Amino acid sequence: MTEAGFAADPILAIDDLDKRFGGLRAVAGASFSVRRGSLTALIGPNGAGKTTLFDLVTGFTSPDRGTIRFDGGAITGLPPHRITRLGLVRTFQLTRVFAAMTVLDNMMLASPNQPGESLWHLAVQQQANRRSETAVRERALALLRRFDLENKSADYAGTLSGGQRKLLELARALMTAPRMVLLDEPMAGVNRVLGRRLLDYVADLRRTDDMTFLFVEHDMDVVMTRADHVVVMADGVVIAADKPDVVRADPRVITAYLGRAPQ
Amino acid sequence: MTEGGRRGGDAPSLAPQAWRRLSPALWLAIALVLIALGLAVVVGPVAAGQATLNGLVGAGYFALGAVGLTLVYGVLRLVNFAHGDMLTVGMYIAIAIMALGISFWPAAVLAMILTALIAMLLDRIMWEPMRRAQTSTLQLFLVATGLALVLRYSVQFFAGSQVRTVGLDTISSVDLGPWHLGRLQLVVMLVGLVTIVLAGIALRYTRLGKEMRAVADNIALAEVTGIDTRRTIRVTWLVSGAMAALAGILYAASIGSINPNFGFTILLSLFAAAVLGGIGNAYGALAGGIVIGLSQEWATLFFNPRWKPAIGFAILILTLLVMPRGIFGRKKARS
Amino acid sequence: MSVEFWIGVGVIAGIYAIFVLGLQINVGFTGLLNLGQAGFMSIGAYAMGMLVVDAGWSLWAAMPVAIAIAVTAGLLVGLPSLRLRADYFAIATIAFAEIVRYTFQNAGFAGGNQGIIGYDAEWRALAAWLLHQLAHLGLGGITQLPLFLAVWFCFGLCLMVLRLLAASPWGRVLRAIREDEDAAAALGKNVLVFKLQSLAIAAALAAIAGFFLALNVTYLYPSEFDPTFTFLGYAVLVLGGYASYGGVALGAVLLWSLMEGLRFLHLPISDGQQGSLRFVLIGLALILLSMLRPQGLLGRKAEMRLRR
Repeated sequence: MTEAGFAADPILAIDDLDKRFGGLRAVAGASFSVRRGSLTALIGPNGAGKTTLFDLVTGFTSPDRGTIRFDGGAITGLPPHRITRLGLVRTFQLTRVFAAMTVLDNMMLASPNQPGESLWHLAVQQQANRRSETAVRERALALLRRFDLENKSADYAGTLSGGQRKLLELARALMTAPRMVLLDEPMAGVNRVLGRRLLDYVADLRRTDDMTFLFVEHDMDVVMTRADHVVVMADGVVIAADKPDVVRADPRVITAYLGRAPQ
Repeated sequence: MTEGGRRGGDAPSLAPQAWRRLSPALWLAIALVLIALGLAVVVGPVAAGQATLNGLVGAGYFALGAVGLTLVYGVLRLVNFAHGDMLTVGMYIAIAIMALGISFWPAAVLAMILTALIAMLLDRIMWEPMRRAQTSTLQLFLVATGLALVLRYSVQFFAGSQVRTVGLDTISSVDLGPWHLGRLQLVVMLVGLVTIVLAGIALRYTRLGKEMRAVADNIALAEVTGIDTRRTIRVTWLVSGAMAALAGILYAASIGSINPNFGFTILLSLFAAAVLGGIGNAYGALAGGIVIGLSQEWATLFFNPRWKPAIGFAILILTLLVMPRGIFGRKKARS
Repeated sequence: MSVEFWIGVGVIAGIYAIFVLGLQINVGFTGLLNLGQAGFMSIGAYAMGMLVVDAGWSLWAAMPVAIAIAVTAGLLVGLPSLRLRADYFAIATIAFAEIVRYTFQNAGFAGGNQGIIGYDAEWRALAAWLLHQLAHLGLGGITQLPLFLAVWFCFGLCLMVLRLLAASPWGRVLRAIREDEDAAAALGKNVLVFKLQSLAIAAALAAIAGFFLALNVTYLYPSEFDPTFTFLGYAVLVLGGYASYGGVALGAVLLWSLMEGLRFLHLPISDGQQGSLRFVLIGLALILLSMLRPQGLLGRKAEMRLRR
């Protein structure tokens, strides 16, 4: 693990994470950290434990051992909704938009701290609820505009194409006002043009909103050209974490991919 | 805190299977023996032994009824709310056959065969199309409920809703030392226990049994290893139907009288047995049935017999709260 | 085929309509398979009955308290069982309903199989007054009319409230939970709390339905609240469509009109057989509708398909 692996001022720090399913050790003592404001890629061959790691970090599974710290606080073992409220949100590999709800509803749902979600406030604070709904709607439409989905806002999310769903899922995740976004294979099933657009949005957001992104990706082109930091996992452990050029030349990484040189 | 993992299958287990599976069974057996001995100390060996004997009579039909339920769940992930009424159907078919002049036990066997066929037919016309259409849990529940109503009230339409006797000798009893048992009940107990043992052996050693267990464990994996899952499903329904009929018949024989609602009435106890044993696990259902049968009778040593079914409910609730996987289960129970 | 008869049917349909509104919020809006609704209904009805008869309360005071008791029961049942998988939750709710029925049947405090009687004096006074007013309109001869109006008025109120809730951000979260509760959790929603609230509201609605049932039969006994109620409730839900409010009313009216209307078909079968036939037909309807038209008579097919 090089010096650059333990970044200064990490927004996310994973230490010695271990997770077992039956007899299979999906994550076997993984440690790395993600620098604030970076676009970090998490790569590795299939079965390396990347999705399990995402599940662990976002609270869908709890680790057998190890700690996870986000933005200065420990989040190990917290349930998913708590972690999202703390500013860490994820998207899914196979998109999970709410198909039988409209695009706009998908977006508005994700906004945090809505008074109208509490029965009590609904009953006694109608004004506040109405104001909040208006504000949330505007924010949602603005985000949809940014992602070129505004004209779809009244359609059922289930009628969107695969690529559009990816965009919707990212836009929806952004509604939660996160400080860090975990993207699980954002390029999967998306054509190049749309994929590039998605990454442009991401780059934009890093600049304007100071967001950190950690994404799992198999498309090496994307990883090498866009990421400013790369973490490599294999067999449940982190085998390298450094700048893209350094990682690309690392013999352990090349071996992990079984001789297939990363492009 | 979320139990290790979300909904969905386990990754393949690499730990040694044999001792792991045997161990809970051993523990259970030891626990049951200890409780029986404890009861003997508290209420005296005569009362305790009598309750235990009575419990073993019930163990038979609870276990066999639960096995059908759990096998269908294990292989098809279907909670068959109509299963209780299959017990009813089985028994009433037996009654109808007896009305033709055939004596009880041959009629029982015929009823088992017919009920098995009905179960398989229902799969062909109802469950299979729904499997192909990938229907939701809710819709499956509604269909199962509808089926339960159709079965129960069809029986009631033809046979009337009144309580009727089984027409067997329920008077003569057998003395076993200080304990006694109705002769018929003794037969029920023996048939039940023998069938349990045979079922256990068949599950473990026959090819069909192994295939059923494999499919229940992981259907995708089973298919990949060359198991004909469609045939396994058909066999599962046949077994489920036959066991249900036998359970219904044993129940009727041991109680002496029935009405068209009896299957539905004991459905919850069957669920209790299946969940206790770990739903999807056939050995578990057999063990669970024994526990339910014994617990109900042991409880009568302390409570009014009126509360017997409540024991089943209580066990079900406790299991769901404390140990939703059941004694032998490995499936994820929390969401 | 008298008016009185059909108004009586309308009362029962109205009771079911309120009962099923509760199921709808669970099933149609939250995706919860609540099979214990009859249990909440009996808790509500019995609590009301016992407060009036045993503790001497006024009927009007007993009702809100009985609702609160039913809601508490909902929370107590939901807290441990909502964490379970969907089918286990369903089984847990059945177990709850059976335990409730069993307790009321066998425990002394609830009158056992004798039941409770005499709680409806204040209602009968109000009904008499209403009837007197209706006489001015020439409708004074229909004795069931006051209860009919009360039930459907109450249904209308509950419907309005539920409509508002469904259109609110709260309702939005519920729908998201129904679609995909893990995704909803990943977006920061505390799924358990929302599910509990949904269950609590269903319990309250069941309790209200229970009050009207108790007033209708004037004599509370445990076998009234057997699982058949829940099954018929689901039949109404299936008929009317899971996510359609108007559907609940339509479903209830349709079901009960058909059930009772069957009486007038003079089939060459006995009364008992006729009763059985009704249930066989309901069972068939449940099966066929679930298989062929899962969105119900008024539901939207597009929505149903999108959920697969």
